[in-house]
Amino acid sequence: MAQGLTKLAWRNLGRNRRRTLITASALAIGTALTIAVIGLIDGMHAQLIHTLTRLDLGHLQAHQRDYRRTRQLERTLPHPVEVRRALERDPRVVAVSPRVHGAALASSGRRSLGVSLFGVEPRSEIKITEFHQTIRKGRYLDDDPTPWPRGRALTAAEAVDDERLTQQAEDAAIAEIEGDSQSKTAATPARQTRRQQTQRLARAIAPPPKRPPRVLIGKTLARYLAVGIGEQLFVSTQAVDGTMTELAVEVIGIFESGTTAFDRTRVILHVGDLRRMLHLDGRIHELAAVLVDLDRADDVALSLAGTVGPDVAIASWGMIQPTIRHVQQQNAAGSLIIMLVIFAVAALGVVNTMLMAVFERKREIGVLKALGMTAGRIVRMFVAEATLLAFFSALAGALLGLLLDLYLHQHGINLSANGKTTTVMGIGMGLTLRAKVTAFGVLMPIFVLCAVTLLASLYPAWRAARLKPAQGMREV
Amino acid sequence: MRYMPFAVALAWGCVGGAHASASLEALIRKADLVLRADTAAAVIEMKVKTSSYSRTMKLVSWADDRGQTKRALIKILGPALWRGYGTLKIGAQLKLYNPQNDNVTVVGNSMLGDSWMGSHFTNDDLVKETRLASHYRFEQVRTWQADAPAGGKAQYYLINLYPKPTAPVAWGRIAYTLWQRAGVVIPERADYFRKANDKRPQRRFEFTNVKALAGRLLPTLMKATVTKKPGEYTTIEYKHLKLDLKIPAGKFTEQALKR
Repeated sequence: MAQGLTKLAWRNLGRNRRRTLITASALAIGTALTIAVIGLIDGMHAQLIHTLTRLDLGHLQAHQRDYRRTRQLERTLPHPVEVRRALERDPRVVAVSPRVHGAALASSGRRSLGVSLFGVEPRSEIKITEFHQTIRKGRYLDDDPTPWPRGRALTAAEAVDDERLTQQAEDAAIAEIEGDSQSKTAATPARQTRRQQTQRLARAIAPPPKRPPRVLIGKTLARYLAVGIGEQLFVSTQAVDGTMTELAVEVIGIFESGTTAFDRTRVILHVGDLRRMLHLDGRIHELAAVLVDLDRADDVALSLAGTVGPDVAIASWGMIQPTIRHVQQQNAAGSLIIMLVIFAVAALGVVNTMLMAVFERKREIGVLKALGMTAGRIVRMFVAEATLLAFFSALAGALLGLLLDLYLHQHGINLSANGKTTTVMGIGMGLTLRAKVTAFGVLMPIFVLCAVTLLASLYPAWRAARLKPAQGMREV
Repeated sequence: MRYMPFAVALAWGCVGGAHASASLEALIRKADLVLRADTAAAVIEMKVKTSSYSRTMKLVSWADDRGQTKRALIKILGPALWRGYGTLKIGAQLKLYNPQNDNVTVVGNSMLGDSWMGSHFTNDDLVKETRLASHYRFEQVRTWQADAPAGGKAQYYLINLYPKPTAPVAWGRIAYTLWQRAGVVIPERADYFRKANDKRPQRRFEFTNVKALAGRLLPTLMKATVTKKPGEYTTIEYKHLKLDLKIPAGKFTEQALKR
């Protein structure tokens, strides 16, 4: 019997082909557009998360418990070797890389700017972030840190020398304060020797590196400080023991990540070099890891947190940057609204078509009822008609949507304005926005379409079922 | 508003306004005079103690407060690791000199709040132009008699300073302790509260070692502590001081900073 109903419904659809086709194509286009919009929004999220995780955070990070809150230099990761091993042993972890962070003033000529120093282990960092792929000029960091001799404490004799030099400087200062002009003129050559001796002592305590450490800087910073490849800039920072260190560094690469903050303020150098600058010895601030499955980062973080001791905090990218999740949720709500609007319009179309069909077929319905067809079967007949309509529209719509999605995935939408990348919340989006095709993004609109069409057919079907046979047959 | 580098806590002006009682105003005015001068030069010993390091530095500071822009130059005299380091501050403009690299760095305004050479003073503390006095009203909390550090009985005062409604200042209240003896008023302690009814001050300055220097009786040791970092402090001790002196020409230039 059911087969008979489907057959009947199918034939009914074929009675007014043009009307059926128009309704079906409206539904199909609605479905296709929804699929494409969801694909683009998913694509934008994927790109945001990609930028965030592959230019900065990685999927997972380990720190000293209070480091992320305070960002204090001395809060270095406890037991870095053990934690690194624990991360690397986990089969869900692809790669791990150590990092050191510092804040500094970068200056060149008359200009200076606050920057963040990002010390990385070059060989393992390329498995975590893609900064090496964003280098526009020059090259990436060397595997080995800058050769840098160790400092030593002053010998007893040198310490005495040092005190004598301080005393001399103090005497000279007092003489100058008291306006003793004779000592002032005599002081000049003495000052020169003092300076040379000081240099010697200072270099014994804190020897300079054999050559300027090499760094990568962002395009914006390079432009602001007017430095190019092979040129030097000064980086001054306060080490963990409070000493001010100022160091000349050499720019070997200029990157353009598209993310404003990185391109303007990030200076990337070898983790070993930054440790020396900050007097951190073997300590690090952070371990960053990339996982097999980005979406399971929260689970991995939670399960690893128990294994590394209470001083170590392990957090996923989503825990570190919850704003991305909020954006994701907002956009999900947004796309749901878009979908509802599109399908509400489609549903009105379906109601209209089916009502027309009911009014046209009043005579038939009357005859069918007179011959003994129950109200329930009449409802089922119309619902079957709507189901068929929805099914084929959805099929066509999904096909069209998938094609659109694939096109948008392949070619993307050009976001660049004058060759500049667009940013969302300061995070670079790359030059093109590409759609992301997901099973959910394709199946969801199909499901919603079928549901909406079925619901929309209920009212006309109910109207048909309520028709009195005699009244129906009197209609022309 | 005139005062020398590091004498920040002494930097009350003379404007009491209608709210202040005449005697309080006079007290503050006199305390203010302790380290005030048009020009000043000093040799200072600075000790910094934090949870991760402690160090002692000798420095020489020059200050000229006569003009519209206050000027200060500080050079580190020793030890070797920092000898020759210089800081030049002209108004809000700050320049740092590193003798190891022979490089002058011009520091942007954003770093004025950063620590100076790892101490508990900020770059901004070196020379500050905030007109504290005209921005605060005075209120005496209590007064009592006690032994003065310089000998004999002295009259002590604890005075609260509240910012006037429109004052562009960071503090909600400053509790200022000072004592008076034989016409001399000497500050003893200043507690800086973020909010007027905070229980604990954010930072505290204490003034001790009162003795005659540069022809005046004044506290020669100042200790700065930050409540958030217990056990940490920075002290400044005046080893040599000359006030209202003739400052050599070109003292506040980049050449002098490098010399």
